[in-house]
Amino acid sequence: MMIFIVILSIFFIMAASVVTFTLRNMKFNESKIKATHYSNQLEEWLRTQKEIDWGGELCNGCVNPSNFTQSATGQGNSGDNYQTTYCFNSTPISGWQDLGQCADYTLNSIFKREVVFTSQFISGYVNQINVSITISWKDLGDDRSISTNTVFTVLEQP
Amino acid sequence: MMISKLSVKGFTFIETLVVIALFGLTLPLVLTILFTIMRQQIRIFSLSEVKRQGDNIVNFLDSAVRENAYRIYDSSGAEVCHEDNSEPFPHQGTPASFRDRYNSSFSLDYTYPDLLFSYPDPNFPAPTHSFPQGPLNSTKMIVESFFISCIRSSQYSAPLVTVNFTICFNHDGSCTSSNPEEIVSLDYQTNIKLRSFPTP
Repeated sequence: MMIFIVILSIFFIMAASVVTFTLRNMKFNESKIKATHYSNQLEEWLRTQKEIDWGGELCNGCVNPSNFTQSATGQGNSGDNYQTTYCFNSTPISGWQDLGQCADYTLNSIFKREVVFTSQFISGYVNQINVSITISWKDLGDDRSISTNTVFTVLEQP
Repeated sequence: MMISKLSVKGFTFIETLVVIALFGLTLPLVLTILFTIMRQQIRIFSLSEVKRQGDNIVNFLDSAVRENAYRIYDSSGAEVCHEDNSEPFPHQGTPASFRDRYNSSFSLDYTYPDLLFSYPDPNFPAPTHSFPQGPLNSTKMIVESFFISCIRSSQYSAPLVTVNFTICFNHDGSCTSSNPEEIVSLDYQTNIKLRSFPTP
């Protein structure tokens, strides 16, 4: 009888572990699909902003950026290639949102969406911007994230 | 002697009762776990399918409109986002149909729950011939909150067509369900800059 109970207990513990692992994995996959969608959504929106008006100028303390490069160089300085961070925690995206890192996971109540721009410039003209989009979320207390890196550039230069 | 030999064979009543009780406890537990796993699998499948179809619609619109649209018309048949500078720029409008370079009309018709692509009278050799007509979403999906607009900032700039929509899994004809866990929907937005367009 004791052997039977021991075997049964081991079976239950193993089954519970497998089920927990499977469910956790499934939840992660579900979040990852959504995170990929949010990343693509922001990339598409940024690509359009770049197409509408690349600009080319640095922001240099500008209050109301008027084009893509000015928006993407709103923070930092020449030493860190004007590294600028934006938080895009609303969907659909209606415009340039909060400058700086996201405070909370308010995108769909689970995620936070940040983008970091790093600009390359020659004589004050921005000819390339490296874009790093990161979607983060909490998964049963663990921090999870996916990142997408892309480069926006213009072929023609003044 | 004969009776005592027979009495040691088989399970006692208590043993049988214990086994039945264990089965009674474990079976609902196993079924609940299987049900939870299955429900989660269905949710992931629904989400993947919603994303796949949403991405397909965006890619299709992107290529169909970007490559083929030349002029844009609203629901009254008036041209919008045009090059005529008698009105001040930017020109804005709500596209209902497009014409390609061969003057073939094609349109994006939204009738809940479907988004349809059609070209009623194509003029040969219009490239719109190569596109399939009909709904862009399957019957298992619902397209809602569809919004389309266009803007042209100057005479020589390309018109920009903005398309926003939400796609969700069809639960008996609606996106909503009594169980919030079953609701699967994604927002899409795309901006399409026309490749060719009339200039003065």
